[in-house]
Amino acid sequence: MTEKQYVVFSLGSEEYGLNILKVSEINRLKELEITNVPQTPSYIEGIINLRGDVVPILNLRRRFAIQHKELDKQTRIVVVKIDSKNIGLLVDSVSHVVTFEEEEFSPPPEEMAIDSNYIMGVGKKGKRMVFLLDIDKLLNTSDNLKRGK
Amino acid sequence: MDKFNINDVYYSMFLEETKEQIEKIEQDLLLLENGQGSMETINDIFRMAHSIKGASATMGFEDMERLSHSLENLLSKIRDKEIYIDVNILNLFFKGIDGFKHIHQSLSKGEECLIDLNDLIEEIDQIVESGKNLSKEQILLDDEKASELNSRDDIHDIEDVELELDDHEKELCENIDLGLKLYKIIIVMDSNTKMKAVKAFLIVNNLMGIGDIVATNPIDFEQLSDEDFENLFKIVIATHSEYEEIYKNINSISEIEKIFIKKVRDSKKQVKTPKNVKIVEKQENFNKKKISTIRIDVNKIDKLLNLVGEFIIDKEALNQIGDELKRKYKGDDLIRKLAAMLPHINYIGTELQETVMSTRMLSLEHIFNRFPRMVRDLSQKCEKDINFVIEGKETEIDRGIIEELVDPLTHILRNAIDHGFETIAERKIKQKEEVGTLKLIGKHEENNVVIEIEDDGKGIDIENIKKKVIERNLAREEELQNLSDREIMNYIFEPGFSTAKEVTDISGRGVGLNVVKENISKLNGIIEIKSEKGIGTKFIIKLPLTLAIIQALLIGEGNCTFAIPITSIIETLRLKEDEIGEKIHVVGDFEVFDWRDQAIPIVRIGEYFGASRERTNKKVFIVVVGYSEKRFALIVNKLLGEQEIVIKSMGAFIGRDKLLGNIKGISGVSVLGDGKFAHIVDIASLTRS
Repeated sequence: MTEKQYVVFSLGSEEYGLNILKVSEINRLKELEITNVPQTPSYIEGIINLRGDVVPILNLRRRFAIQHKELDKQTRIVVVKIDSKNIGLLVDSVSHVVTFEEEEFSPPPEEMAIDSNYIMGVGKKGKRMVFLLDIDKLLNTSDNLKRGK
Repeated sequence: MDKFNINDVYYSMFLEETKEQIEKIEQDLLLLENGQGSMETINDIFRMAHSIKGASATMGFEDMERLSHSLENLLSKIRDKEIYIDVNILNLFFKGIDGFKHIHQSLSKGEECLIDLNDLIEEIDQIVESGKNLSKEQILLDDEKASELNSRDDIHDIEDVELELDDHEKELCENIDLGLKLYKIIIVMDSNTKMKAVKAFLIVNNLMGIGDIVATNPIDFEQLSDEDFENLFKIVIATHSEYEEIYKNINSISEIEKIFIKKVRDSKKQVKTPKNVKIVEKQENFNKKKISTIRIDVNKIDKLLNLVGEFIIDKEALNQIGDELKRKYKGDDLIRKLAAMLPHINYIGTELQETVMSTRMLSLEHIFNRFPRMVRDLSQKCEKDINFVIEGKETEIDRGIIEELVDPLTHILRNAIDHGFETIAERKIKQKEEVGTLKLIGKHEENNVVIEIEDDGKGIDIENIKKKVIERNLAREEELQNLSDREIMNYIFEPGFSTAKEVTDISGRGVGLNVVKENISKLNGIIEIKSEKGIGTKFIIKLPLTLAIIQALLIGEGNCTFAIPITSIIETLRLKEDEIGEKIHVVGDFEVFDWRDQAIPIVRIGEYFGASRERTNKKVFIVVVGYSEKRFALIVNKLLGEQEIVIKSMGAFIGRDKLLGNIKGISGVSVLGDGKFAHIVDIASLTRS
C-alpha cells in the first residue's frame, strides 16, 4: 500500500491535487508583485522576484481555458520545483493537504473542464473528488505554445 | 560499488588531476609530431604517464594502470634511444590517450569502462619487446636537430669555427652549477658592421638576461676597435634556456650574419647532485614556490557572484534612499554622515564585483587546447595538409561563456577543414601553398572578446549561395538582387542550409552553422563572416566579457521598465516639438529617422512590446542603437537614468519549446533597487525584425 500526500487547490468549481513533493512553497499574492513580460503566451501571468530568483508565473485558469476571474485575497501562487527550477502556478485558493492511497485512484473521466491528458487520476474522499494534476506533463511544453497563441 | 563513488573527494580529485595530465600529454604529443619536441618533452610525458599509473593503481582502475604501464615501457625505450619516434609510434600514443579519455569519461559518470584495451596494450608491448620501428621516417627531436645542424658542413667559409670548448673554457665551466646547461655560441658579424664592440656588448647584455656568461672570446671585446675586432665573436653561456630562446635572444640584434649554437653540456642535476645538496635545493625551491593558487568549487564562486549581485541591487536602493533623505532632511547631521559613507560603499561594491568577476575569468586556452588534436585528426581524415595556428589563447573571458563556446568553435573549425580547404591537388593547380593555414585567434577589443577563425581555403561562393537560396525557396531572385554580398552570405546561418555537394560524417548537413549562430546570440554575441572566393573565409565572433553585470540605460514605458545595454547605445537625443516633423518621416509602413543625414529605421519601444500606446507630439527621446553595422532609432517615453544592472537569466524558460516561448527583443531581466524587474532589451533580435 503506497500513500501519497497531495496539496489541494481549487480552480473554478473543481478541486485539484498536486503531489506535495513537487511543491516548494505557497505564497499569498499581496506579498509578491507580478511583472508582466511582453510577447509571452497569454497563460503566462508574468514573473516574480522570489528572494532574488526569477520565477515565471503560469495562470492555470487561462492555461485550461477556464473563465477569467479577478485576482483576490484568496488567490495563491503555488511554487513547484521542476528540474530544479522554480515555476509558480496561479490558483484560486489552496485549501488543505490530503492523503490518498493509490488504490483509491480512478481513471479521469473523459469529459471534464480541463484537458484530461494532464490528469493522472482522480482521488476520492467520500463524495469529494480531487483531480490529480500531472505537473511534469503540464509544464513539459511543446503543446503549451499552441495554447498560448 | 564503492570504487565508482563520484562524490568521493579522492575520486573527484583523481578525475581532475588525470584529466589535466591526459590533456598535457596530448599537447606534448602534438609538439613532438610537429617536430617541436625535445628530450625534455619525452621526460614530461614520462612523468605524466607515471603519475597516472600511480594514481590509477591507488584507485584500483586496472585498465588505466595497465595502459599507462605499457606506455611507460615504450617511453623508456625511446628515452634510451632504442626506438625512435615515428608516425607509427605517435599514433600508438594517440590511441593510448584516447584509451585514457574513454576510461576517464566512463569514470566521470561513475561507470566502469567497457572498452577492451587489450589489443592496444598488446600492440604497444610488441613494439617495446621487438625494439624496432615499423617506419623509417624518424621524427627528430629538437636537440637532435640542433646537433645535426651543427654537424652540417655549411660553415666552411669560416675556417676556425670551433664549437667545442677549449681547455681554458673547460676549466671555467667546471665550477658551474650542474643544473645549468652550457652552450657555446659563435656569432659571425656582418663584416661591414660598424662599432662591433657595441654590438658585442649588446649581445652579451641581452644574454645576461637569460643566463650567466662564462667566457667570451675576445675577452676584452668592449675595448676593441673595429679594425681589431674579427668578425667572429664567441660566447660560453650557462643557462636553463633552450636553443630557441638563445637564438631569438641574439637574433633580435641587427647586422648579424650567422649564429652557431651548440649545447656542450646538458643539465645533470637530477642524476648527479649529491643527496645532501639536494635537500638544500628543495628547501630553496619550496621558498620560491609559495602556494599562490587554490582549487575552488565553481558553485561557491557562482554563489559569491549571486551574493555580489544582490549586494549591487541593495547598493542601488541604498543610494536612492540616500538621495531622497538628502532632499527631505537637508542639513541634518546624520544625513551628512550617510552621504559621506555612500561613495565608499559604492567603491567597495564595484571592487567586490570586479574581483569576483575576475575569479570567474578563464583564459581561452581551456578550450583552444582541445582543438589541435581535433584539427590533426580531421585533416588526416580529409587528406589535407593544414597548418593550425593558435594566437592569443591567454585572452580571458567569463567561464559561463567559455563553456558555451566549445560547440560553435568546433563546428566552424570542422567546416573549414572539411569543405573550406581545397585538396592538395586543387591547391597546386591554383598555385596556392600546398599546406593550408587555419588560424584561431583570440583577442580583446574594447569591452569585447573577439575570436577569429580564418582559413586560406576556397572561400564562400556567393553565386552558389544564391542558387541554393532560390532552390530552397528562402527568397526570390529579385529580392536577392537588392542584397549586398554580406547579406547574402548570412543565409548560410539558416537552418538546413548547406552548399556542400555531399554529406560526410564530418559536415554538410547544414545543421552546424545554424547552431553556431543560435549559441552565439544566446551569449549576446555577434557573428560575422568575411569571405573572398579563392582566398579564404574568416569568421569573427564578438562576445561580451561577462554576462552577469552590465551598465544600462533604464527607460519607462507604461508600467514597464526596460534596460538598454550601454554598449549598444550610440547616441541619445531629445527632439523638440518643431523638430519632430523635420526629423521623423513615414515611408510606407515604416518610420525612419534622419540621423546624421542617414535614414535609419525607428522602433517605438512602448508599442513594440505592447507596453504603452501613448504618443506625444511635444518632445520625444530618441536612443540611437547599433548592432554590427546596423543602426536603429528607438523612440522612448521616459528616460530613467543610467545604472549598473545584474542580469538574471531567464534562459531556462525562453526558447522555442520552453515555457515562455520565444520572446523577441528581450534577452533577460534585471532586478532593480526597489525589487522590481526591468526587461533587458535585446538589440540584436530587435534589429533583425
